[in-house]
Amino acid sequence: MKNSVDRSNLETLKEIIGDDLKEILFNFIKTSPEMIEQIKHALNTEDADALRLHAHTLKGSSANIGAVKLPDLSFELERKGIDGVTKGLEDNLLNVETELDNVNLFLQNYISSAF
Amino acid sequence: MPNNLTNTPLNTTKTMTVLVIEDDLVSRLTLRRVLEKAGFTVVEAVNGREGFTRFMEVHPDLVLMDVMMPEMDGYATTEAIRNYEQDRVVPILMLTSLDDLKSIDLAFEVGATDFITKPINWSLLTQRVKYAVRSSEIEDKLLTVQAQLKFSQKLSLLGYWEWDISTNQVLGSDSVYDLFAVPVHPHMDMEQFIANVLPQDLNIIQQTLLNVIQGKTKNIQISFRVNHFGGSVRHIECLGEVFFSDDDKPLKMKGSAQDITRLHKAETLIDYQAKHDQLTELPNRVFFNETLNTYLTNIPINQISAVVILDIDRFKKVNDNLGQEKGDLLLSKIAKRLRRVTREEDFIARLGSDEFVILVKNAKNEQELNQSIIRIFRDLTKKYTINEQELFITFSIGLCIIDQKTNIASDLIARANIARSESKQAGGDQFLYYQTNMNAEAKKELVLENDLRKALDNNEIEVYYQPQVYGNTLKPYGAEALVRWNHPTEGIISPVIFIPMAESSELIVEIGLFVMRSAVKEAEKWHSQGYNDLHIGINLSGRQFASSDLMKDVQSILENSNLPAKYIDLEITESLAMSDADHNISILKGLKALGVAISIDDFGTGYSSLSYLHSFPVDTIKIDRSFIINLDTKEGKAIVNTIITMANSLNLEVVAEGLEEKVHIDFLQEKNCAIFQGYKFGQPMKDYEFEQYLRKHK
Repeated sequence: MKNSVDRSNLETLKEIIGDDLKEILFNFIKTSPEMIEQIKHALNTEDADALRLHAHTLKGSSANIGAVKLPDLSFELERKGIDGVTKGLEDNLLNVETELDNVNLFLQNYISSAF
Repeated sequence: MPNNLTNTPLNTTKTMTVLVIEDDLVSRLTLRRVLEKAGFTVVEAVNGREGFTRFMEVHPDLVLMDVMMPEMDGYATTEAIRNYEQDRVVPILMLTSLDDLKSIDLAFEVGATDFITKPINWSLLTQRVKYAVRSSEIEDKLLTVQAQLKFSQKLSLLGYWEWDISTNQVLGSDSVYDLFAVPVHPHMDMEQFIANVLPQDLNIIQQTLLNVIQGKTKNIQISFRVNHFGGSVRHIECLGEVFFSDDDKPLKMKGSAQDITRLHKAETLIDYQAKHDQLTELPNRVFFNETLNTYLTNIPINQISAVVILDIDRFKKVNDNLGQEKGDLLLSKIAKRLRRVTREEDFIARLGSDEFVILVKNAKNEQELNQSIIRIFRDLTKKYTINEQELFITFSIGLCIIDQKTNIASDLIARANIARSESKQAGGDQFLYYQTNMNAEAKKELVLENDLRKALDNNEIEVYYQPQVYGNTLKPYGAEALVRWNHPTEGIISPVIFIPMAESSELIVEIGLFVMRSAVKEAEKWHSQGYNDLHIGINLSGRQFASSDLMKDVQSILENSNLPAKYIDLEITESLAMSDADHNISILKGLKALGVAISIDDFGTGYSSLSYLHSFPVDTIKIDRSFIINLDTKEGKAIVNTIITMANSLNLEVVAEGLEEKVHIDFLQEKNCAIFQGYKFGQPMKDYEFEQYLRKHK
């Protein structure tokens, strides 16, 4: 099975900005659950535009730190938002949530090993 | 030339500022850290609207912008920036996902420079950014060099021409067509070539040409004038040599043409110097007398004009302290300031050492004249800086109003001088009229203006709200915020009196901001009380509109309020909007980008150009009260009907102001006029009264 995060991307970033990477990763671990909450809220209120926006943000944010699968999974939700679909997305949401847990676990391990 | 460019060292000492507009915290932070490590200064914004404001504040060297953001997306922001910029094109790099190629097309369309795909390749990012900044700098330099080259060619003002005598055809360099103000054309006959020569100078040319054809001359040298586009006249000098055939028949004439307008001007310079003061370059006493005399032969009726003489209080002492050189500098600065604070049609001259005179023309009435004088008086006594030394000086000013009876120049000057010396004897730092009851009026107005300065601090400025209702249901639509001055001793003072006073100083900006803040706060209150679709109309003054802080002020008010921007109607008068239409359109676009609505006030009273109106980013027009009053006549009805029809076709809402009569209301309802305002529906009232009104009209 592939890793949740591309370690070489993190290494590149670390080479460029050094210890500041820790702050960025902490911020991702902190803000990503908030994005999930906003996605859930968008699904509950059947707000397709909000779904599109927040899924898009999660996609960009996770791609930014080198997440491998999460951007694609987020994009599936974004796509639904663009198509105006907000129902029957329980599986998609679960996939995103599970993968985000994996990503954050990876990041926590990385932080304790690399800094 | 291009080699020079690539060798030019680019600005490496100054740190480059990058504006990052991105809603996701993690991406924003990563961009910041990476760019900072590469030596850039980074400014952040979390959405397009904030990004646009930051752009105006910091003038970044480059913008990195996410496409998809709440509030105002990347396209709208790019468009707003491109609209706002005047000369420089700051590179905008769009951040987009590879899966969204459509967005890239759109980004280029609205003016993006380049795009960077997400996920961002961090090792390449700084290179991309540096490259973009560098190419835009080179582009800037290239444009400058090209412009300089063109300019230097133009400067020489020399052209070459050739005339074939047998075919009558003229050929020339591009510049020669320019000198003769005719289009560049390879086959042109002589008559077409000289078509724009002044009719009175054509004779000289035709006579010369005739001499050439008859073989009487070998060389020519003539000068004449040419009418140029836009009405300017240029002096052209032509030198030419005639070429003959073997049997001595004239075949061709070749020669040069040169613009000698400047030379010509040098000759008139002597005349100029006789009429002007060399130190300040203002007209001198001789010129002033001449001008005043001419003016007096044809004094416009129904208008007021005056001779205003002023000198510096205790000038000898000022001059002794400063020394001759700095004293001269002070006089030049005063002259410059006089030019700035007077209107174009006024005539300023320097009469003697520290004595200046102004012929103030065409005031509508005594009040307006008084306003002008107060403005001049205030501006003249502001701080002067002479070689870093700060200086406050005061003036004694005397005025004599010109009327049909007093129409001898020397009398007018003498009387203004008497008034001036009375001012001086009374202690200086004031202005007095020559023997009229204007002095009491003027003093009262000065006192009032001083009071106005304290009015804001003393909470005397109040905002009133006049109801606006929907035309069809007559239910509340919102209110227009109106300003009142509650003077401690004079009572309520009409804005008609104090707004012009405030307009003549920066005070109007403070008052305007106060009104805007109060009105938005009040409207926010209505919304919180459940009236959540009420609009608030707020007037913008000319000074406010011209102020560079306007955008920032509106932005900060919006940021600190829960009132959605679309419920705010910023109103500008028609004459203000049209005063510099192209420029104003870009300001209005900026305001629109912040989400507020725009209204044109007093519609129909100014010089409105319909062709402009549709290019104005306007949502509403307010028909002026004067048209409503006229609704009793057939013409009045036709005008209002036309305005409404036109507004409908441009998709604009129409507000009718000053409605009082039932018949007028019926008429406007029939024409589907959207919004009504007038005493019939409610007078301007205090905030708590308006809240009562709302409860009553639920």
